[in-house]
Amino acid sequence: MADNGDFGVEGIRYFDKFRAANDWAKKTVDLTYTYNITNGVVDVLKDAGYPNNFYWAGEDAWELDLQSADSGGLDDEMTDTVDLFFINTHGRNDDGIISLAYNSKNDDWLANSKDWRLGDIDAEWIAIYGCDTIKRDDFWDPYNSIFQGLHLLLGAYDSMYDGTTTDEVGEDFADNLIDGDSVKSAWMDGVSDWYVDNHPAVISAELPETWGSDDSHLWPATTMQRDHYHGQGFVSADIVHSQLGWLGLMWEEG
Amino acid sequence: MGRFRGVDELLNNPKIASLAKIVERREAVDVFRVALPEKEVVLRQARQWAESIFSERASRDPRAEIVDRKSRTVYKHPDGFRVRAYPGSNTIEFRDTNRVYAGHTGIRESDGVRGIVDSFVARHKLIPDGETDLQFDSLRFVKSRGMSADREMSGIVVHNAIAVYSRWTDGLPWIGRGSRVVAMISGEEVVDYQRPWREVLPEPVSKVRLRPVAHALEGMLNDLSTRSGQQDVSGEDIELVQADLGFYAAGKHKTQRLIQPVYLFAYRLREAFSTNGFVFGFYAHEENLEHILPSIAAPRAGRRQRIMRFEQQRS
Repeated sequence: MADNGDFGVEGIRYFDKFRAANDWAKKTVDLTYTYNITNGVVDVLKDAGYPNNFYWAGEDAWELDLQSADSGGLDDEMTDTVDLFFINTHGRNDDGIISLAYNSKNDDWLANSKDWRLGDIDAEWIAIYGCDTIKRDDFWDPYNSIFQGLHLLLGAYDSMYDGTTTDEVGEDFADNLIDGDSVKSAWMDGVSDWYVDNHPAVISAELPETWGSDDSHLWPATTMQRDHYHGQGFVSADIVHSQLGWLGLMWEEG
Repeated sequence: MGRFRGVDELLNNPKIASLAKIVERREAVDVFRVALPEKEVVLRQARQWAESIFSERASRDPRAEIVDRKSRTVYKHPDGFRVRAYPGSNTIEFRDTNRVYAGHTGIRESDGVRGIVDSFVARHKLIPDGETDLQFDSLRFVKSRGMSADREMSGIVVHNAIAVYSRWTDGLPWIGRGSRVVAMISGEEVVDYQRPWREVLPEPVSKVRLRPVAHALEGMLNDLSTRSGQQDVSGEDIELVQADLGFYAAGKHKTQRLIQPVYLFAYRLREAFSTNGFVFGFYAHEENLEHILPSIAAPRAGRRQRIMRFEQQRS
């Protein structure tokens, strides 16, 4: 797989089938500006010359796309075959286990992060514009197995807003990626909405040698701080799971 | 009142009650025209920002590489400094890309930030002369920590403080994605400054009567009912986070000719699958003069192809 900044995108706006099939989910409402956000990412990165390998919308987006091929999923054809995967849907978190809602059942209505093993093929960055994907305490156990070479998980530690004021977050994230920001800065700034209180957060894969006691990590040498989009600056080497020393976590709060 | 249960309860919510008082007091609001920015004027300002800030900060020749993108012009300095101009909305941004979401700051209080930001703005002339309608709104922080494979949790580093300012015109705040001026501090220095600045012409073009807040709340519940498959929804299903009446400012990618009053409600749903928050915008007046609230885009792509491919694999 090429490190050429290729990317894949999925967006789910309507949840009618998800609601109808799952009694526990009947209060799930449709999103509104999903395709403003996903189209924003696609347009900016494509205009900058990056290959868009897939863009699945609505019922064509499947939880299998994130699920490891080892457990019957399709990540070896989808999410793990691109450098950046971006998705906008409903998310939730149960003790660090992420669930993402889909409006089709292939194989399931929910993607579950226990089934994700990303980066052993190609994926470097996964970006989820959805709620509550990141837990801020005791985060090693629920998240480390996702990082099989994946560099950063870009998400949120509480609500992310959908609506009138957040229609440009995809465009802003992608603008930042190609204007020289590090990947984590591109996310934190791009999806922040200074009017409503979005809650962006990032988890990074780090080597043991940058760990420091208390808060004295060698931050300038970390994946979190150094990773830029391909062609826009330095990109850290993949860290295979056996070499993973620690996970970094960054968030914004007010 | 109305066909949705719980509107009355929402009207008793303190955030809505104070909004209703403002509406009662104002009754009508002036609509102002925005001076459409000329691209050359915005780019000249951006160049001035770049020259002034890069000369102060850069360790070498302060001249910047200029990159023209679809919606913006980017001035990039090899030391990692950047100025971006979005002419359509007269937005200009400075960023030290090496020091945002990085480094360390000891600042914890708004007083410390405001002096630093005021001095930076004055030194580089970043706000048009005579503009005094910016008010400090909130202070946020960028934080990090780590957790090791041995389950050791590190202490927390505070990388940056972020000062958010809101703009006011004619006694009302600006609201929406393009309504805030933002400064980020690392150490004791401004490392990011974002200034969307739609210039308002002084003479109003119209005066519009405000619709009651209850109309907007009904609109919000109606929208919510539609988006939940026509289920019954009630004000009791909603945790109201924010409720504002103000002049709507779209994001930096959009050109806007007028500033008009809009209600914005940010809310979360109780007992939902996700903690998703929603922002609902509703024109605060009957005679909408310009569509500034964003319209909803359609998805790209469509494909049966993929399902066939999957079936072929499975068979």
